[in-house]
Amino acid sequence: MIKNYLLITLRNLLKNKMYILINTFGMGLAIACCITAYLNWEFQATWDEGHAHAAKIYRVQFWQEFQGNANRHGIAPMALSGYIKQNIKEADKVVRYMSGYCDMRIGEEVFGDQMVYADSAFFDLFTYKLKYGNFADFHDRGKVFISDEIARKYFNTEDVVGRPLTQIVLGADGVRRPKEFEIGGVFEKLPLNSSFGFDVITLFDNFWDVNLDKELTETSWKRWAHVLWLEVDNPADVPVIEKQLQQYVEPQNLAREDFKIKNYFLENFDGMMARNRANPRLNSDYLGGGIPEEAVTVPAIMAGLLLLLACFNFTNTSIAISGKRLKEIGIRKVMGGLRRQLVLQFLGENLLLCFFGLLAGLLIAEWLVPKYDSLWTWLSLDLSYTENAGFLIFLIALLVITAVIAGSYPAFYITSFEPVSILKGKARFGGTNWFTRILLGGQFVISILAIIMGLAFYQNGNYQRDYDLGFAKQGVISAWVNTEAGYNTYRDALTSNPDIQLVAGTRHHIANNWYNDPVKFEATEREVDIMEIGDDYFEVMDMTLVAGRKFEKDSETDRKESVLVTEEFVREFGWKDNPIGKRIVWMDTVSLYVVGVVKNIYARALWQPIQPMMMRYAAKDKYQQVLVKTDPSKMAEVNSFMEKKWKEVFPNTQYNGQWIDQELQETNEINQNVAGMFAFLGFFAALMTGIGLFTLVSLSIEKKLKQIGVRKVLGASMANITGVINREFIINLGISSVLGGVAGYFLADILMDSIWEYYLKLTVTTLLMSVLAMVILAVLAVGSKTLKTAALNPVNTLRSE
Amino acid sequence: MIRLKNIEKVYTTEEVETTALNSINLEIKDGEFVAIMGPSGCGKSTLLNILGLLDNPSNGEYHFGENEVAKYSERQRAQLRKGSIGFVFQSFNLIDELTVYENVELPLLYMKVPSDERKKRVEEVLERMNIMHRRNHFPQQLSGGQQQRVAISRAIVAKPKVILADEPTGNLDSANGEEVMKLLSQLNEEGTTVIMVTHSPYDANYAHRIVNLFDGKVVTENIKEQFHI
Repeated sequence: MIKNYLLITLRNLLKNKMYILINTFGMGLAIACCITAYLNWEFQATWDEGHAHAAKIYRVQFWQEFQGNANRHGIAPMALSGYIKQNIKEADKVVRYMSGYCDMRIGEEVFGDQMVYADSAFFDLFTYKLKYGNFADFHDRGKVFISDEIARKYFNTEDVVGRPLTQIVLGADGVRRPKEFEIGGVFEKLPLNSSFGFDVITLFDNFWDVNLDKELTETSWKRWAHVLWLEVDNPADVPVIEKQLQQYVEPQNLAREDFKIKNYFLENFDGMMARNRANPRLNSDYLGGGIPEEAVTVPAIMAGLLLLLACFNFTNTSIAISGKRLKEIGIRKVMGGLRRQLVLQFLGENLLLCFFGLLAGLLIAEWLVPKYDSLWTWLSLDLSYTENAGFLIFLIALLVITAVIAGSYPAFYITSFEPVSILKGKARFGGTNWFTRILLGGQFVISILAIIMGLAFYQNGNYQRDYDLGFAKQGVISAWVNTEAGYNTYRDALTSNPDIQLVAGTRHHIANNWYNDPVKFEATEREVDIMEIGDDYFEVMDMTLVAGRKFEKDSETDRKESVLVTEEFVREFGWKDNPIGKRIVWMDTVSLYVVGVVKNIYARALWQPIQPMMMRYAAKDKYQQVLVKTDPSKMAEVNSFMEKKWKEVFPNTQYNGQWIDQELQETNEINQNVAGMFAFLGFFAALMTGIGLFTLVSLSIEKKLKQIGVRKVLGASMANITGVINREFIINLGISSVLGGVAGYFLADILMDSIWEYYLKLTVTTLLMSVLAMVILAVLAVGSKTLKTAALNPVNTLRSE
Repeated sequence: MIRLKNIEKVYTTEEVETTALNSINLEIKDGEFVAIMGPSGCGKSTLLNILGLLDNPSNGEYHFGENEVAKYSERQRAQLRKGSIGFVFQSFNLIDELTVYENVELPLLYMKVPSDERKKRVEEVLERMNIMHRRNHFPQQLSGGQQQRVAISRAIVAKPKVILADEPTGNLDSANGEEVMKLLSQLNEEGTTVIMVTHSPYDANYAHRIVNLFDGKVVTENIKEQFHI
């Protein structure tokens, strides 16, 4: 019997090649999207996986309350670790963790990278695979452990234990000196979905050799360790430790009255990333990224919608095709076939079709997964079937679920006909019913929604690209020179290039660093962003003065007590009168006077709400960065020139020039990617809907042929016939447009709101354009079929009836 | 073999109630060849469907062999149908996607006949119907007469007690029609009960008995003296 079923299935499939091709492709595409979404989810779900002691590892974090807002912070006072070791015996191991960018040299090759400094128990806590060397050597402060990736890159081999690595250490005197290390071990670099992305790690003691901050000492409550890890063997000790930690709130707050913490708590490493990214998101987090929740949910929603759409299409076309098999069903029933057997036969056929879809999906996934992976720099998806049991289970579940969703209705519906009516030719099949109408409506809704999302993100991309952030968004390159001497040397080297319009020195730069402190005006206290800027920074960054004046060159008074504030600053302090000359107090003691108001500066781009900002005039000895202004079209040439000059004047350090565009790139990238993803979804959703619509209209026409013939005989016009054929579809499209429009509006708004603070709200035009696109597609799909039918000679249709 | 007592079939729609069969009493003995005749809409096909266990009567008793089957469920009817009744239709009703051989094999598959036995029986019947040379062809590659021979092969391959033929020559030219009628006669002579619905008095002549229906009732029953053409 199975052979008989298979034969009839294959012959039927061959008869309907086009249908099979379209459905297989549609299903395949949806399945490929599901595979991509699954891998994307798995990437997040397996974040920090593989650390054997994860359940015992805790990070010391704390809550801070300021002006009614509660914030979580991932840093810990530097002094705390010593006290924990001394006084909290329940903490079995304590590990401080700091990371910093530095220049290193292997052979003749100079490169810049993050170097991590951690206490000796680091590798006891975290599970790393050591390819060469011995973990015991990590206790030796003369040794450094590097990743296999770096070893391969700079040594062309992984077995490099005992080989030298030189760190270029910048001294307090501005002189860079080499510090020699011996490579003590080569570890396998952790995957991208890990909190630790470093390539070089050494013992914490070495940190003190690169530390230039005099206030940052082993016992300092004023300064912070980037992360403080504890190992707690007994989970029951966690609340005990948390309780004991609270005794260190006071010494900390005494040292930093401007930054008072409320309480410490321990965050377990297992699943930490997701919890720390949840609202309110962890501040001062020095560990590697994590994935935004939307980056997992959006592709999953999209894949789900596309799969649903493919299933709808599959169901509708399957019903249409099955109409031709009524006779077979009738005969099988007459021959003694039970309905159960027929249902199983048709479900089996659908399962086979879905299996083809799955095969197509796997093929398409070979293209789609790497393509999606390349969209996001933080993502690394691995399409491997052999080493991932979860993935295989997912694929099988996908196949069965798809077959059941897509195949159940056709299987049950077409086997419900009585053999008598079938064989007498009385069973009329096709046309539409509530079920197929709802399916088609669902397709319309999903398509319109996808088109809206695509358009919304595209328009938002343009809007955000043109958004006035209050500073130059291109034509600026910055580089870290760290000292005034470095600045002077490099500036002198750069002046020879006529394409460089202006060179500025600064301590802080909007693109990469500023700090945050409370400032008082009379009784009002606000936390504000603070930047110390040097000569010409204002001009290079193309900021706009709206009131007062800029800093006067070399004015000591300005350095001492003048500030420029932003419009947001003025608004926050509620100054209705002239802000120039207002006195504010910083750090409870320093009086500062407003000399100018600057147009708002969106230092956090469009991601977060704008914060009030004030700028101070930095003394030259505080300069850390150099900024170069050039024509945006000359960026590449100027950058090459800067790199060339860098190698001449700082041969021991890696050129670290950064384009201002790079900093803003992420916004553009997200807009482009999300718009692209929805355009992709929109295109295929619309295509499948078009096909589904065509099928249903064809069925409907078949059912209405007699009616159409009679109407024509009685003198109906083409327009009237077109209306008869399409009325219900027009109504369906109308209702779906409203539903899709509303759903699209809210979905786009919710999604954008979760990503950005400032974005373009959806306009009625966008909604109308999306609906119009769907209408055009619908007309294209059914236009010619409808016209052909309307033009049919009624003699033929009535005769055949 | 078959006994109908006061069989009624009423079709009910929202507004109209139509009586298709009204107090039908009919007995058909083993080995009989019965023709059912009557004008269009008189209930011939409805009667045949009830006789063929494709439909249940609204009222009355239907004895098929030893069984009272009038209230059988679809499942029970299907069970009884598959070994006992062969069907021949006016429009052949072969499955287009199956070859001649596979079409004929189908009833045996539902009866779960082992494959060797199946092969033997299908080949036997195809030989007998003189269609063996077309065994691998699809229905649409055959003439109407050939298709009906295949349909008859399919009807008899399970060795049913009864063959129900619904206007078996309706779609055939006279030569092919006659051939089909001869085949049915032959099967009847070999012991199979044949019940045939027809419009054609010529075809009805092959039967031993003609049952005339009018407005859902049996109006006359003509028992023929002897078989002649």
